[in-house]
Amino acid sequence: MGFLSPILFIFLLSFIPVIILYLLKKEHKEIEISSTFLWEKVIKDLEVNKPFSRLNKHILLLLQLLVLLFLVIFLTKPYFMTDEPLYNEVLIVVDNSLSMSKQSENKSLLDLAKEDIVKQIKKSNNQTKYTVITYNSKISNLIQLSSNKSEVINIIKDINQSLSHDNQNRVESIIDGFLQVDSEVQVLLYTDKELEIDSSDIMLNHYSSTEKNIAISSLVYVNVENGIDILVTIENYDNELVNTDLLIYSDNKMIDVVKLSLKNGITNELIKLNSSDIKTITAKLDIDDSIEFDNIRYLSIQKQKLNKVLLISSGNLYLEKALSILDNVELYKTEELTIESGYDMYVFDGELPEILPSDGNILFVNPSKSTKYFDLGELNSYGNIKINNTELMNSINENFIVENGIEIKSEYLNTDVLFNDKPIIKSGKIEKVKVVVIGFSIFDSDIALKIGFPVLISNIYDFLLSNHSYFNSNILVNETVDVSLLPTTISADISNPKLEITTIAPPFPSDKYDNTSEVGFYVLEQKYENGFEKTVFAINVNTQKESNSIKMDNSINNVNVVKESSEYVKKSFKIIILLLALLILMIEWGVFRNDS
Amino acid sequence: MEKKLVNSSLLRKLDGLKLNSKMILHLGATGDRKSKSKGSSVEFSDFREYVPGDDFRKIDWNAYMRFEKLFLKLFVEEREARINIFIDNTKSMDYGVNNKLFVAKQIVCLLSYLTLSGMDRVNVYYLENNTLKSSGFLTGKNNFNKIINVLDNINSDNDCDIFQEIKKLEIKKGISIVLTDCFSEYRFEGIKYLNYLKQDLTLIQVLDKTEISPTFTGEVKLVDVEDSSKVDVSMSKAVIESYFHRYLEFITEIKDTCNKYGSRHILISSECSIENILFDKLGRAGILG
Repeated sequence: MGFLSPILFIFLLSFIPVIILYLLKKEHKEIEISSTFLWEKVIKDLEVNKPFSRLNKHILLLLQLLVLLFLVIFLTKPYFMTDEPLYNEVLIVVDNSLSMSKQSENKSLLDLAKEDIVKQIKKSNNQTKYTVITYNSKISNLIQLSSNKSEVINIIKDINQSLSHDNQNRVESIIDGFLQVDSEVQVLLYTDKELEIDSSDIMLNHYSSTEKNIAISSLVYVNVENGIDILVTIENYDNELVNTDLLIYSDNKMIDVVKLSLKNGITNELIKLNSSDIKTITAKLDIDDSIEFDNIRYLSIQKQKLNKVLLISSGNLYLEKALSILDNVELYKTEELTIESGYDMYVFDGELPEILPSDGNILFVNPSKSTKYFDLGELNSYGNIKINNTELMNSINENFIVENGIEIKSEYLNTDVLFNDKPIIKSGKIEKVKVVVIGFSIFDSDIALKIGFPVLISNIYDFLLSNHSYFNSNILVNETVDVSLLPTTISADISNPKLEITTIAPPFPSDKYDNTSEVGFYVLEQKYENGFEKTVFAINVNTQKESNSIKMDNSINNVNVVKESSEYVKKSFKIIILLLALLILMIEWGVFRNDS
Repeated sequence: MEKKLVNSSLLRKLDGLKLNSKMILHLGATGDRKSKSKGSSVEFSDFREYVPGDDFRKIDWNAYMRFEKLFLKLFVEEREARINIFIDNTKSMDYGVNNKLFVAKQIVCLLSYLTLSGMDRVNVYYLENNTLKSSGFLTGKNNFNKIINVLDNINSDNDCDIFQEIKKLEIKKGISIVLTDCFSEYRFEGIKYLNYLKQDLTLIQVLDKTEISPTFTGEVKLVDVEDSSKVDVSMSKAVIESYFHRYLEFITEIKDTCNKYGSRHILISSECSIENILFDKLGRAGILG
């Protein structure tokens, strides 16, 4: 037997005031009688007939102290150890993130956890209701409040290893939520990580493996003359020196092998590839270590593409300068409103043509009339500017002044800047076209003189033409991919490494793609009226969160598998204590009624 | 205003009654009460032969004429009874809403009236300055005022025990009536001693209703009015039951002791009216006839 909150025994000090109050209350009322002759005999009788009669005099005090004692014990959360779980409701939370794939004695930590869970379920009683949750970066509720043991065991056995990192904050809040709804639910948590959660309410089954682990934590490239340079970052989480081979594949063909001698810590390896026609790179360590999936990393090589931008303006030098300094921009200028198609981005400064182009994204500056994308509202003069925290206004901290600004009305566009509480800069995607509208002239404001102006134009450019550059970034397993399609796209599909095809458009705007549970190369295929375009992007594991946990575990212990919980489990009996307190309270009431 | 011990209408009701004693008294002055002794009253009893030494004045000369033998003519001697009334005027008796001592005084007063009306002699014993005092034997109705005066002057400023004081007493054979609450360790010795003195004893035990059935509640400290001794009691059902058990035992022991010595025991609650006490309790016990 033990207590989860023994500090609360301090409440036993309340015995003192209770006894003092009792003694103060115990003052006898003096009554004169003719003779105590008979009463003295009565008192003697009571003392002789009842051995505990002296105790009986203070029975109410004793009962009050007993009630108080039981209440204090109830507060200290008493428990006893039992090898037979007797819970009514059990929440099984299983971490199936990548780190649980670590091997220990030829079994993954997840398999060990599953075996323990099955054992636990088998020896529990038949009334126990199980809820099973797995968590990686996503939380999955596999079964809820089932007392069918065999069904629960089958579900436990079918838990798959995820390649994703875990989401500790969410699982902690979910466990908290369960415990708040029903404090009697027993939470059994199976993980290899440390959780910042009050472990008094949960039974933590902690697993770890001391087998060595090496991971490719980063794979990046840079275009150089006559080819590309790739930088492979390898991290050895073990203290021992490890000799291994690094295999480099390009488009599924091995193109290089590098012999490595890896010390503890990070090793960077720069590899020069003299080919300009490489689409994908795969780096793989030829080693048998604890986690298999972090020994390989994928990289897609994006083609350098120049974006054609057309500026339709009657000599707005500020805009022209800001646009011309952007990377990969091929800037065209015209004052004519009669324009041809074929540009990736159009910038209208002031006057607008009758028919707007539909093959590129559009920036409107001080539009002269309403369009199908927005309506113009009332004109405002001088006022307060309020900048919203949006992607477009990222890193723009300083305020600016606007002399005259026109309200931009559109329920489909997000508001980025308000002028006298009326939207003056809006952005968003309507059907296939991305649109940014600035409702004032650059010349009616001091914005062009501010440091933030080129940043704003750069943000607008990134927002309007981010479709390809997005894939240069590092996408991790289970992350959602928000693909920005070109305005000319008719349909778009994504195929994963298992060649499962998912259509993300139509309808437009396109759906976010979230079937990213596999590592490897994904292919986005956009179909246009006159052809199609394929873009490859790679999805990798999160080594930062998942591969280095062994380093922490090594410092804790040297055994292969550590489980913090024993076969014995803590069984709370505070409810019994509470019932006893209530029972004694009732007895006390009965004694009181009887006495009076 | 002080309560009157008796009123005239009650006294009128008593005119047809007199004290009834099962004892036929042998000693005492001439009175209205028939005795076993042969005496000089007008009521004929028997004849017997003359033996030397007899009072020759009682020789029946008509019988001598007929039988030529000397016979004595015997008559029943009528003697007066000697009634000793003991009133326990300790502090324990001076208690209760219906004061026990007052009720006892009323009873003494009425019994004295009956005694005096029946040409018997009454002596009222009471405590004064912790010693037993008496009114002296009084006879005749004209002495009733003296009894009233004695009773009026009786107070409860006494710490002694009436039974202990009785044991110091030497009285002649007669009728004794003791009015007390019997809260005394010497109650049995007192009864025994009066029996030894050949007294036709009637013990009238006067108790207050709180002594018969206590109604206290909660935590109480009971203080004895006589010796100020204190008893802490947590009143409960068990305590009340135990008291009742002790009370019954207390009463039964006194009754049994009285029976054992051929005495009467009459239990009276001070709540009862004096008429009820007189005509019901004392009447049924055979004190009045």
